[in-house]
Order: sequence, then C-alpha cells, then structure tokens
Amino acid sequence: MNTSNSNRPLRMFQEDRGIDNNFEPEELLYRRFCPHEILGDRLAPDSIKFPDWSVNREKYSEPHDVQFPSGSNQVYLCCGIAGFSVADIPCKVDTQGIFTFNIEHNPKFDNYAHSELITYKNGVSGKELKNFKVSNTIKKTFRQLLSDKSRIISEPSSTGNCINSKQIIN
Amino acid sequence: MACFITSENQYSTSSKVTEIASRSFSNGSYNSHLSRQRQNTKSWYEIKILELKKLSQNWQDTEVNPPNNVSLYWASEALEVLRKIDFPCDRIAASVDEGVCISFVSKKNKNKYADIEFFNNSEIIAAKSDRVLPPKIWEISIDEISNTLEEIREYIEL
Repeated sequence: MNTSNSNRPLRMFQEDRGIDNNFEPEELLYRRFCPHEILGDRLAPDSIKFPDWSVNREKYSEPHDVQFPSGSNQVYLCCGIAGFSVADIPCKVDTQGIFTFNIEHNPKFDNYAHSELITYKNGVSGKELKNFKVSNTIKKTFRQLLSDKSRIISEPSSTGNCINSKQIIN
Repeated sequence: MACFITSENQYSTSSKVTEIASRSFSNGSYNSHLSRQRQNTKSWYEIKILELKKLSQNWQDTEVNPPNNVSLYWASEALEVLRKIDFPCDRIAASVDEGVCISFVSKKNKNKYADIEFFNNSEIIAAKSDRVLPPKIWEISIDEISNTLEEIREYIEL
C-alpha cells in the first residue's frame, strides 16, 4: 500500500478533486470506534453523536482509512471500524417530520472521503441555526435507529492502548 | 457481548475505559477477584461509577460534558435496583449526550437491546429495540426507575 511519511494512504488526499454529493443508497459509511463504544455487534447508541457526525464514505476510501484522523499524524490502530449504509440513515425520527437527516460529502485535504451526517430542523441544518435545540427523546431515537443498523466491520485490536484512556484523570 | 472480564489482565486494561463488563451480581469468583484487586468492599458498579466521576472535562474531542452528580446519582440508584433484582447490566458508559447510559443485550437474541439513560439535566429515557420493529423510546420519571428496569428485564430475558 502506498503511504505518506505519516503512513496515511495516498488515496486519502483530496488533491484537485471536488465535492461529490452523489451517494448511492447501498454505499457504506465507515466510522472508527474505541473498545468501550460497542455492545455486542453494534455501536452503542450513547456513542453516536448528534446532531452532526463524521464518517468516511466507501466510494473514496477503504474501511481502515478511518484510523487516520484528519489534520493529525496519529494513527488509531487500536480502534475498530463500524459501518452502515446510506439507506440506513433514518428518514425521520418524529411524527411531524421536523427533523430530517442527510449525508454530505465534506472532503478534507488529507481525507477526501470525509463526510458528515447532518441533522436538519425544518430543512435548516444545525450549523445554520443559532439555537439548535433538540429534545433528548429525539436525539435518543436517532441514535437508537442508527445503532440498530450499525455493523462491526473490524474489531478493535486491544483495549490496553485505547486512545480514550485519556478520558480518566488518575 | 465481548466485554466480559475474565482475568486480572483484562480487568486492569478495561478499567482504563468507561465500559463495564457483564457478569452476575452473585459471581463469587469475580467478587473475590475484586477484593484482591481493590482490597475494599465496594461493588463493581460502585467502582465503575467512581471511574465515570473521574472523566475529564475534555473526555470527548468536542464540547461534551462528562456525567455530573445528577446523572451519576440516579445511575447509582438504578444499579442498586439491578443488584437487588439480580439483573446485571452489560455496559455502563458516559454518554455523548451528557449523562450515564446503562445497557443490556439479550443472551438468547443478540439483536435485542435495551438501555436506560440518565442525563445530566435529570431527564431519564429508556429504550428497547430488536432491530426489526421500530425501537421504543420513552421518558420516565424517578418513581418509574424500578418498574422500567423490571420491564427491561422481562424484555431482555424473554
């Protein structure tokens, strides 16, 4: 595999490629996770961020590319990889359809496949709304629906070197 | 669920993260193991709650607060209920939505999942899902914690 000095695969660099918002429903979206963020064969709902969530798209990446975070020379080899398809993104989580979701290609210079799962309230994204209040019930419904669809593609290598060990102050 | 603690080594590594292993409350070997490790009488869930208390403010890369005293208190109360009814959970973790989530998976059907989440703003929301039917998500009051845990137990053990 071709790699840069930081071992980042060369295919990850954007170079002169533009935004491609054409997502096929069956295209997979990848997300890295730490050992404590799964339960069984699913991403734990409480580890799925809301309203916006970064993923890598299958069309322009390999699953393990998610172990190379954008803007960093670190490589999270300890992390596992989870995935779900574009069609798995919930259409709506409330009966009125106030909240909707969409996947958008958001390339980074060192991660062309980077995409974001964006939440919209009445058609306006969370980034555009100054006061984007969402009830915990709505958020939990979204997280549960996505957790139900998630699958583990690659198990984490170990818990011993988990990057989230930084979470605990000793 | 793959997060069982079965050896000293696994315990020491797992203790660095916010996950808790699945086990029986009446697991004598695990209790004696804990006794050797910690040399105190704290239960395993008390130890994990203490670990959650130690989460730093920047435990997530984004601005997500760690569990506060409110969510930790009610999570502890729920864990005490679970101990009394001898229904161990499979996971305790800090939530990216700011709080503590206690989760369960069925041993008979790995698709059956349930949790109860205690938010820092004192809200409590439970969830049940089998990956087939739409998940049930419902808000509960403090007075309903015990009944909700019983409901989850029936669902998971059915």
